[in-house]
Amino acid sequence: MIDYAVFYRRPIQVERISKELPRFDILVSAFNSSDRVSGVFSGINSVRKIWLIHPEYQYLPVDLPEGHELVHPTSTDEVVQVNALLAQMGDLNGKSICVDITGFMRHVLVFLTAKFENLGLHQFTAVYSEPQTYLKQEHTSFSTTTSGVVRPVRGLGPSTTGSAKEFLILGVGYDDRLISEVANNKDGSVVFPVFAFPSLSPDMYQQSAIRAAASGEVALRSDWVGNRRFAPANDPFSTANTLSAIVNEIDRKGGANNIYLSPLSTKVQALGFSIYWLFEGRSRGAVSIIFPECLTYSRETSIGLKRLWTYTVELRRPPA
Amino acid sequence: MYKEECEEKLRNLVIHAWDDEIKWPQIEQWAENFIGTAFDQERERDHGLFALTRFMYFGRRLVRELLRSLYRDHFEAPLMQRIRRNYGSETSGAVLRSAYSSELASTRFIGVGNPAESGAHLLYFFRQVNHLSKELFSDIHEAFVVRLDESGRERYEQRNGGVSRYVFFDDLVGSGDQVSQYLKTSLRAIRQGTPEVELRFLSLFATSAGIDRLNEKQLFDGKAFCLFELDDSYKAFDANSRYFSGAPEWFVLNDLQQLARVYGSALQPRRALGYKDGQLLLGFSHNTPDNTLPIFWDEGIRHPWSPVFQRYDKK
Repeated sequence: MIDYAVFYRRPIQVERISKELPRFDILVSAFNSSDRVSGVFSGINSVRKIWLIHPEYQYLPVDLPEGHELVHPTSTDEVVQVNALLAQMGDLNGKSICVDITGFMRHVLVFLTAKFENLGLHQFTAVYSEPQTYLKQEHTSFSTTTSGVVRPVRGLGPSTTGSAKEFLILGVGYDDRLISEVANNKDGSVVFPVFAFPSLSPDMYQQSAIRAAASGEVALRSDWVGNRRFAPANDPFSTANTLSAIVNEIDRKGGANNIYLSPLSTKVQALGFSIYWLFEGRSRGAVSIIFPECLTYSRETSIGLKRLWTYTVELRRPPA
Repeated sequence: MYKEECEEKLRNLVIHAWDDEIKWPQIEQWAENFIGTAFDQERERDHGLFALTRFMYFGRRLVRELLRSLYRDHFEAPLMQRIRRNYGSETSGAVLRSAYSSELASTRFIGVGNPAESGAHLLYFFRQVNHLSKELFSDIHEAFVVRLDESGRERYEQRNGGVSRYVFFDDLVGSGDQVSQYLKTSLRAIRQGTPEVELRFLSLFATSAGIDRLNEKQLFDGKAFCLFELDDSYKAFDANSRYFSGAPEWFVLNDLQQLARVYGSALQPRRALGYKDGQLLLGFSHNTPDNTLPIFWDEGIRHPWSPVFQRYDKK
């Protein structure tokens, strides 16, 4: 079992971003209309800075930022998006890389992390800017349209056993429609809802609980209340630790179990799900990360920048 | 329409966020407190109930989860990372854990205030959820012996020289006045008697002013930390208040303020909007802070009142 406490993470005061972070070789950030994303992009020192333009935000050419490298993938598919980004980044060997995950699409972030590991990158720095508040509190919309298809992230799919019992570990965010789509897709599975708590601010837990309550049948089930778990909204390593504990708890009861992970909460938690999969889920087998396919996504969901978190994402297991 | 929406939201909060610790009849009784003293009775009740949908209540399960996170994410993990940095990142996990165990053994957690107060009371649950030995908990008098220096000033000397770190704990820091008054002399005397020890402070919630105060040099000198910092946007009637953005058109914030002030004055004449004008909308299973608007917690001693999140006030 991995000791997730050893991984480096720390918060940085907004006004100290350029002083506290080292100069990177490459900074990658997903462009959107939140001030917190553009502020961090300009605040971080880096030799090269790349904007990733997710098609889901549906920006017109006139809306795009100027003065830095742009990657504009033609499809929402994570393989297309990550390949386009990697082609722009070029040789990663010996490079220090910083990824601002704040505006990233979750499926792309999960695939990018796995791809970095696959390419032999030892580590990268992920940063995440916490908002002061969400624009419309519990009414904030994140994804705006979906295809109705729920599928594994490419390459992170299951090698499942047909007769196995199914478990769905769901990172609960504000998007009740996404929760509902995943829960319906895995109808018949035992659900472990993982709430983002402590939340980014104390009012956000209740807001997400109200939104999640609108997810339909799944929120009325006894496992929704009985199997409820918590992981901090701003800590990927504690999130990975929580997943590890849940899967161990499931496995202790015996039998063949298929585990589906669906991180629908903060991008930090999506990173945490990805880290768990790389370190433990992949070797366990029958663990997959699934998402509803989002076609479009809100460009701006938040107000203000509270603080920046920085995480050193090591892609090799630390020595036991 | 809005009444049904508001009621549905409250019912969802009760089940999905407040863990059924607040019962629907309590909410109904609370709404009946509003009898038209400030303005039209129905409008008063609508405003009161809408404000209730914005109230941040943390039940037993969530408070325990906060205590778990406070230890795991804000004590254990930073200490483990510091140890790893000192030993080198390639050091084995077993060696790092062993070093952590030694560090933990030389730490004492101390509740702020009287043992019967909420900070010290919560330390029991803090110990429980984090599986910590009771030997790691102490109070100032158990940890230190008081000596007088040549000028007659107190200095605290450790009873157990093996302790290198004291972590003070409280659940909520309001203005910082109380904890500052309680600890200022003690911290000075500790530094006088045992200058080499590390002094830290952890709390679940703190106002920005309160945590800044605790981080002053003569107190915790930058080593005070809280899980949730409450800036002025957590004051119900501040210009930047976060609670009511996106409220429906019929809701008027000034009306709510008038309501809170009129009834609050009858309940708590000198602190109608909470201790030191706190204006918070915050409560826990174990108590409701007095910085919260009294209309939510007052138990009706001066003026008949049914609280929805009762405060167990000190006599």
